[in-house]
Amino acid sequence: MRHKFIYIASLLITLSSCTYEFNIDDVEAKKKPVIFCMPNTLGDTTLIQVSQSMNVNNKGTNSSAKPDITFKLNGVEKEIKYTEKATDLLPANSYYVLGKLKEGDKINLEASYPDMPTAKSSTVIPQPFPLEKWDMILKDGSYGREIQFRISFTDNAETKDYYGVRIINKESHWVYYTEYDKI
Amino acid sequence: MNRIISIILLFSTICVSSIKAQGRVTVEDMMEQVKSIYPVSFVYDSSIKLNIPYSGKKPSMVSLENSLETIFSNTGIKWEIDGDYVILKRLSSYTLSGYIYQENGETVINTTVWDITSNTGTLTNEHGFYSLTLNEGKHKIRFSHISCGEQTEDITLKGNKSQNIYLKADYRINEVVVTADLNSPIYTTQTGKISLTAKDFISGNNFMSSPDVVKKLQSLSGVASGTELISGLYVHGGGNDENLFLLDGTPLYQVNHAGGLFSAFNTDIVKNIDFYKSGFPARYGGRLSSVVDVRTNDGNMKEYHGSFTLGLLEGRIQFEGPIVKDRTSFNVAMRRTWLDLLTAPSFAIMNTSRRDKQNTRYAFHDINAKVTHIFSEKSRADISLYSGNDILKNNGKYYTMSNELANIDNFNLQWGNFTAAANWKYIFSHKLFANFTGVYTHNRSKFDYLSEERLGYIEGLDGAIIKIQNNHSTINDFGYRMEFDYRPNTWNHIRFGSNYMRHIFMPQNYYSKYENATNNELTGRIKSQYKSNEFTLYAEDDISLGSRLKLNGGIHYTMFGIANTKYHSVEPRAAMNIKLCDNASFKISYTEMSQFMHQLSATYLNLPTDYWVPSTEKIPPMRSRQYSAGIYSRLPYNIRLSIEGFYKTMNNLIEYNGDKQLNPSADDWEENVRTGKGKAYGAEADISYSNGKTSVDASYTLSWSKRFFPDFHQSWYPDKFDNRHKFSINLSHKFSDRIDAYASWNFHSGNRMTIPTQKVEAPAIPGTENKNESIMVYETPNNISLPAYHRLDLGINFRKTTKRGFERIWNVSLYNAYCRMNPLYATVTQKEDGSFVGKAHGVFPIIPSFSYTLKF
Repeated sequence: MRHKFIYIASLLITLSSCTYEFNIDDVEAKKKPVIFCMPNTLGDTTLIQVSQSMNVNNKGTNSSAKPDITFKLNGVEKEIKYTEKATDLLPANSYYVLGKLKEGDKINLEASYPDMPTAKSSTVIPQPFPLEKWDMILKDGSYGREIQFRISFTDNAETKDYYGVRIINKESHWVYYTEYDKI
Repeated sequence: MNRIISIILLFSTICVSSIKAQGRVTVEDMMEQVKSIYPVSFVYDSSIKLNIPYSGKKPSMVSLENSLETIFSNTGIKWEIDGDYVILKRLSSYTLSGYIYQENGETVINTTVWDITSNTGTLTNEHGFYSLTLNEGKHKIRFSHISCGEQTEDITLKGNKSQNIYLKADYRINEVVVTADLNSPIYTTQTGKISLTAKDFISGNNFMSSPDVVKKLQSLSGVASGTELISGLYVHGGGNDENLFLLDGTPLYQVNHAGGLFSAFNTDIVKNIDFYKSGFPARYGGRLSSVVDVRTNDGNMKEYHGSFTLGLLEGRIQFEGPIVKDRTSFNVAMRRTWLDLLTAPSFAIMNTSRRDKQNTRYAFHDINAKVTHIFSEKSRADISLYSGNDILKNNGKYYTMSNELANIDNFNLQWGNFTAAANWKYIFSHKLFANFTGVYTHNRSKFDYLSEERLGYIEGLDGAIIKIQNNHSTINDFGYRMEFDYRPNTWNHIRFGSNYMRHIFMPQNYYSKYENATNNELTGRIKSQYKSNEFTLYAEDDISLGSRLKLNGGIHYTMFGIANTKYHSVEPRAAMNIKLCDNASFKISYTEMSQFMHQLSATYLNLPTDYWVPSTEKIPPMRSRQYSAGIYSRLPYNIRLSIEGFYKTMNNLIEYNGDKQLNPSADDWEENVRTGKGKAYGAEADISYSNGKTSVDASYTLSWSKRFFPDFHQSWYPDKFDNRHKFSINLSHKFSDRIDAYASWNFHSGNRMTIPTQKVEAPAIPGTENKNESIMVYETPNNISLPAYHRLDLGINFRKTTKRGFERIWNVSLYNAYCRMNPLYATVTQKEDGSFVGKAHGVFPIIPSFSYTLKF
């Protein structure tokens, strides 16, 4: 019995995957400012999220200085406001710009920290999503039943556009168990 | 001032030349010396040149005959005394040709045929044929091969002569001593050429006690092996699809079994492998990075022999012998895994006690078969066939509590090759040999999936949800090869020929069907086919200019036509060998290669679902240029040392951009690949020693390999298998006739992989709960090297010869003897203190194995 245990244990030890750590400090990486901004025509507050990236090579420290941010709407610079506390619309420690936006507005955004390159971005508020119709069906998938959303729209072939879908709420109903999953 | 210096230099040069000319002794001068001692006059035709330099020893002048013999030996002039006259005539040249055989009737490739009398020689070609043009008269010819022994023959040439030679390896001596091996790198013009025979696979480079051709090649300098235990071959920074594998002249596309654990070559049937990393001769083309020319045994013409091997994973059997003695022979070899013979009944027994039924099966097989017939001294033919197949199946049936069938899941993946080649070899004259081959290759990969979910258990529903997917990928090639080998004299070896191949690619014949209870069908069908023609002409000449300089010049031309597009590729090949001294030479080479087909893969794992596509109107052929140079030497104590450097550029490389899915879709693959280029450079050093009982081979490679795909990354970045350092050492020792052992240690810098360089906070999405997530940002491809790879393999063979003359061999081996868990992949994690660390994951531990072989 003891021999069997030793053989099995040896087999498990030798055949199991082995993980070990190695140093990655030599990877070339430089800290950079990070901007996220999703201007849209809903509401009158545009959230600007600015942070500093963290190097995986464990080099460099975060700057304690506040970032230098420039927000231009159709070429006109707008005032950047800051909130330290979270609100209904804004997370804590975030920047924002007040004013309603409309389709076709051009936004230019820049942010920088001392001793870091400047992060720049620009976009144009697109036309409303050209939705024609949508449907939700239940189908078989690789891992069981799947919900498939079928969204029909017309894309402008002359422009390179990007689309995204966000599922706000999902409720699943099990046959065997009267349990509801809410996400 | 400059003008005065130039005049002085010119005057000095003329003086030096004049002095040199005055000091140069000619044959004519030696004749004058003879005339001053003996009262004779020389009579000869004015076309005979006598002012050639005399490099022989000083004649003793003891007798007229001895003096004339000494002066005119190796001059191509014969003499005859007629009274007071010595009549000189030019010696006629005659050609000695034939085949070199082993004792069993197997032809021997790369045998040295050396004329000791005139210090000149040649090699047998891939078919064992040699041709040597010499002056008439007596010659002492030595026939030698490193593995087969040496034999010397006294031959008198009075006309063209055919002489076949049977080499006998003398087993009384402890070593096979071969002098002046013309296939040695010191003498050939090719850089980067390595020749292997069956004996090179006995000690080491195996897996699960099964010798493997690709694993042997992976251990050579300049070759990166890629991912562990996968038969990847990345030669001089090239890709895995840039290697031309030829099996008796037939190209093979898929050389892997079991995901690369075993290659498709059965070493029981291998006669010779010529592996080229650079300096490709003009007769080869179609791939950028390497040529692996595998020739198989014809079969014993005299007796029946064979072998049987049983290992932990696979078994092999080989049988050869004469159909008509000394006329017709056959050779058959089979290899098959046998684990499924155990798993099938095991699953059957398990299924009897379970409600749900399951069966999983994996197996592969290789069959090589060859029949050789000798029609006459001039004409012989052979037919060789190869079939290899892998199959992976998983079938499941699942039942409800009330034993009603609920689900069916069937998965079937098969991949393999079938090749057929018919060769006819004909000796048109003593100087001209030809080989004509008809070739057919079929490569396939087949994937079938069926899923059926019965809906009877859902109240109110009936029928089933059925999902079917089939994906078949095939390549059919058929065509011919014509090779001519012409040796007009000892200083010229000309090869020329033509190849044609019709390629029919069906990269993807994909069908999927979906049916459910509401009859809402979704079907998909992709069928793609490409037909192309590849026509090649080539010519090359190996020229010896004196005893110190050898040149090889050649042209390889290809016309590739597909749809309405034609590509023409002219590929120059040039190489030079300068002999520095008797034991060392310097070589340099330049080659251009084109490749008209590409293997599309989303991973570096060389999966059987990867498929080949041809160059098209939108995707031009790949192209490479390679420069190579090196010094090759033979040191005392039978040590061979070579140091070689290379620089290679590759253009029009393509890679699948992996945007949409794991498997690229063949109907729009041209839209889903990106093009770029690559470069690789480095230096290799190889040293080897052998004294018959002990052999040591060591090699070191220092290399860089980079890629530039502008649509992917804006600057050059390291290739996935950019292993900076590679070192390997193989040691084998024969303790006695019954025991021999081997050890090999392989080291290389880790493969490269892409890890994130930054971590950033994920944005808060308006209207949703902020989850404080983070995102890893990837900036540069292959920006880190995994920890170094190193592994020790050990093995020992126990041999015994039975009373009936059968040889029994027990092999016990340890793969990865000290259980180094070499990293297969790595991840980056953040520790509790906020710092980042890489975590390497290794999978393959120490793997012991044994096998039993019976040779009869």
